[in-house]
Amino acid sequence: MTKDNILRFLRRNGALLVLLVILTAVSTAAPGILRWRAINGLLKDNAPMLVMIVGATLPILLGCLDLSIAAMASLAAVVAAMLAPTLGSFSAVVVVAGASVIGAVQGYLIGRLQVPSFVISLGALGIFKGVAMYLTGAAMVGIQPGIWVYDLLGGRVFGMSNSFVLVLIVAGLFAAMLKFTNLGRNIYAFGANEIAVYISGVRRDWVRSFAFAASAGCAALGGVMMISQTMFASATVAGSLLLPTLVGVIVGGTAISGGVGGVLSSLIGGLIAILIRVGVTISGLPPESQDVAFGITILIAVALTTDRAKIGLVK
Amino acid sequence: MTTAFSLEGISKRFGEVTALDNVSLSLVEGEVLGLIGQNGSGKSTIMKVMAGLHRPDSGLIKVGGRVVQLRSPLEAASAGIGMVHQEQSLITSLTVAENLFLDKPATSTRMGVYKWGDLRDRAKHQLDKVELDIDPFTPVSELSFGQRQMVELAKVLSLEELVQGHLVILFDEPTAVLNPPEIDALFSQIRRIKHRSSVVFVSHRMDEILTISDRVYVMSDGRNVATRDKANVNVDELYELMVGKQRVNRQDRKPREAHLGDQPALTLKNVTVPGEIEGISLTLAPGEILGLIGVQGSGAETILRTIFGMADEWTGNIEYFGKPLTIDSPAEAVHKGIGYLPAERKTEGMIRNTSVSENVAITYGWQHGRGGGMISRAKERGLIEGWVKKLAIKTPSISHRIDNLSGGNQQKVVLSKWLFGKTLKVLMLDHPTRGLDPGARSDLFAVIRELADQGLAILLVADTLDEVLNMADSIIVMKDGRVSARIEGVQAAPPSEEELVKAMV
Amino acid sequence: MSKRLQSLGPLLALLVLVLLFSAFTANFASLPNLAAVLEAAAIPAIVAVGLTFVLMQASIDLSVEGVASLANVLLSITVANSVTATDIGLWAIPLVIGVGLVIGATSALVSIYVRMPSLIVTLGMWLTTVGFAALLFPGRLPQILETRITSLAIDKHFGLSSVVYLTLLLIVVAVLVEKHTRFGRMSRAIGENEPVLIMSGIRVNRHKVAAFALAGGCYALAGILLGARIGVGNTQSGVGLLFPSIAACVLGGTLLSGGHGGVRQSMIGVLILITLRNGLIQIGVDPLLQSALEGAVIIVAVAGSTWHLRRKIRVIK
Repeated sequence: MTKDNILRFLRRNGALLVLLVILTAVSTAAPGILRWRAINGLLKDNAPMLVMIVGATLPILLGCLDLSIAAMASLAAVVAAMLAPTLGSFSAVVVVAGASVIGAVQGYLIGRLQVPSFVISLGALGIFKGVAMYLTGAAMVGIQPGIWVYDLLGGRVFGMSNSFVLVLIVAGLFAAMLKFTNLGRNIYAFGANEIAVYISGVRRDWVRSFAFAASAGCAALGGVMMISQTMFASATVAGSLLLPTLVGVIVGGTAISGGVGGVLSSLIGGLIAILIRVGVTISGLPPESQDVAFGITILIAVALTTDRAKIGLVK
Repeated sequence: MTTAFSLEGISKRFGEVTALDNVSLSLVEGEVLGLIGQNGSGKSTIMKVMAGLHRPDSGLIKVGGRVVQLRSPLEAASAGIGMVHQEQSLITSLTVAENLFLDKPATSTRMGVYKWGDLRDRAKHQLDKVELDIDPFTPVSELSFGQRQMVELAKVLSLEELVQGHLVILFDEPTAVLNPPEIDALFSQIRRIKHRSSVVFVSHRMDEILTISDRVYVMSDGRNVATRDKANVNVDELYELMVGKQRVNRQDRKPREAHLGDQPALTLKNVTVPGEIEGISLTLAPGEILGLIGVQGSGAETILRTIFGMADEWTGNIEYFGKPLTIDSPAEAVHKGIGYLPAERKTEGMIRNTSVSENVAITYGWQHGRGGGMISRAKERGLIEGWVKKLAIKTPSISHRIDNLSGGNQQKVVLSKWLFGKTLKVLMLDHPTRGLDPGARSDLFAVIRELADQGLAILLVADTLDEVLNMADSIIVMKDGRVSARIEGVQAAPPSEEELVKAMV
Repeated sequence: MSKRLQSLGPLLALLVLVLLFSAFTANFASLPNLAAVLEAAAIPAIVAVGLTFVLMQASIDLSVEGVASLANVLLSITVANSVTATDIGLWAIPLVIGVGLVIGATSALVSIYVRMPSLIVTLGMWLTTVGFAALLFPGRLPQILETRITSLAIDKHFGLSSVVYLTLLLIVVAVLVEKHTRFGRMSRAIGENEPVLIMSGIRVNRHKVAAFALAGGCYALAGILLGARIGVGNTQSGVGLLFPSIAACVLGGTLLSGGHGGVRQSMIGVLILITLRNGLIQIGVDPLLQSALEGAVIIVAVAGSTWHLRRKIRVIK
């Protein structure tokens, strides 16, 4: 095997290998983790992050970055909680659909204004946060039990968290979209060479809008899942999820330079992120070292997956 | 008459292409050597070798009779060789003074802090040499292009305080961005500096070469085909020399018979893109191959990109099968049945790190799908394999990465993306054979002819004269953004190569 | 003309804002309020000074909040405080600033030698420093008992605290560095056309490391002054610095695309932003909307400043 082939193999399957290694390490240190209840609990608690990871994969496949997802999840949670008393289950649908539209506008603006995605989404982060703060008056918003959709998401079927089942469904849908549709083909090609794709007659703005709509929609779904678990929302409820989400996507092998990866690898990356967290906890380190671990993991993962031929000058 | 600088037997290859083939050149002290040649004749490569930007594969470079290695522009500078760049190398946010000494070891700083007085004096001295009366602390962004060119020249001339002996100054198409008075000013400066330096001057314009040069050095196909003293230059002979190997063998020529459609596929009226093309009109019929030819920067590529919806601003009229073409993006152009094969294969044509099949199917794959945006890779596979066979694309399989194919095969893959659909009516080819070996070129030619025979309207920006003479039904020659000659009925009565070159330079 | 307007635009915008707020509110133009504006502008200004050199070079640094929080916590546990026994007195200041310099230099070195975009490296550094701040945090809020530090924010001279004077001093030094040193001049040139500089034999990487180190040092200084102001070491103290500082630089004309602007321009940007914050609260806009406003300002400022660069063939990621 040449060095190239080894690198490619690692890029393709590295995340799975890392997952197995960490799983082995963690379960050796704390065998209790392997019990179904513990796993299920972890998956349920982290379902919001996992669904955000699925959505966040799409902009990154284009080579863009959506920094607004966590703020969008918080905003969605707040709005859903406020609408729930009047709209009931329908509030969740409204929130996810509305978020998708806002995401699509973000994606469209990147092309129209020609402002880099991280600037647009950084700005959007601020806007979402500000609006959520304003709506809640910086206080918590609670919901009452008895609304079908939130009860459903908070519950379980066959012993498995419904939220996590929904994560799998969403991931499956996106994976199928990426594999079997023209849009999916365009997304990968866009990430590999945007100009060539433009000259091939692909509508760049539409592709970008779709990716950011997916990312915002999934973030909103994550927000809905959060209120279904805790029964309350606040303007910063999901704020801490941005970085773990990006860690998940990148560690899964979706290159920040675009064109490589997929939602299923991101899910694996998400599981790694969860295990890092668990590992930090059981190793007795203070929980804050998570951030250090995430920061360093992000750097290593990016270093391994970035396609350097594509970067002329490093800025 | 001592030789200041010489190249002996320089060769340079880029991948499959030989850019310089055993080229020698000598430069006498105090002379201006005019360098001419067509696109791809190797003249810019030879300039880059002299400037230390390219290292030759073999051959010697001598300065004042001593063999030197030029591994970087800095090493060239310390040997007394400086280049006045075509794309200007000045930093516009810095002052003139800072730019003059940007690449010099003495920076007029102490512990990283500028000594402005010292810098001003040194800069003033250099600007005086080129008679440029501006404040040395003017930001370059506030200068005209002509003034910037003078600053570039002063930057090169300031080498003389650093280097013992004679300077060699290379001008790479310095007149491209200048207006006539600025060109005159430049020429008088070149004449002034001759007493202490030798000059190599590259231009696409024959009249300029003849005005400024003492000797003319002609390149063709990576070789030096002739060197003539100004006293006994025969212009027609120069054109003939520039044509070189591209002369079409009239006996072997197989004229094609075009069957043109009645209604023009494309009609351009007075199309102008500010700063690039002006007042372009042309018509293209189904079944016709229209060849566009011109030196680099003559605007032929801009015409294609404007039709394809890629121009940021343009004026004029484009009609497409009798109806106005109002599009703003390639996506709309493709929707109407127009295809475009870009010249920059690696950056604009192929989708790197992606398989051959995805590259072919990117544009029209959906037309063979199941509807509703679903694609059918199984159905595509059969069709793509058909094209691979038909175009003789050498690839282990269609799921192989495009990056690993040779240049010619990559180009065929990119071309097949346009042939893959069912709706293409006009195909625009921008230097389709650039960087291809002769075998791949003739394969590609055969395909293009066949497409035209099937009724496709083809607009071809050609790399070489033999390309248009062999392929085109009509030829439009471009010069400085305008049409400088139109030739109809090329297949029946081909024009001479010299005629085309004359219209180009 | 349009170039002139572009360079004067931010200053005009500032003047218009000041005039509008003075006309429509009773309180804005009062001396105490103007002093409050300067006090509020001081720390973002320090951050923006550091960021300016990075942006001029066409790189970016997102690690502000982490580095400032880390600096703040580190300061609070190394001077006399209510939780730990350590007390190295004012030596804590060079120590903390040194840590900032090292963090900045590390970001640059990783970006240069591992060939990763500064956006990602500093994103990672942001996380890492947030984590280290939390790790250093002793569990209970350490009150800073060193009065020589807290007095920086408390004692007023002519109505302004030493924080403001220190900031002004830093700005003056930074302007001199920008205008008169090789590093300052080359920073803008790197952003404009790095390949030419490399070909001219300029050691571009040194200037890059210097810019990131300087930025890290500025963030650390911001963390110290935050400590002086809030009187405790808090892992969240730097939160909220990233937005206004980037927005301010861009607003003033230090573009993300590099090669433009400078310290003076960024400072005008800081004043615009702080004036806007202050003025909007004066006319009754809910302060909770503040981050929404700043987010919108970032987008509009970046879009406006690069509007003339729009090309179909441009790749924007």
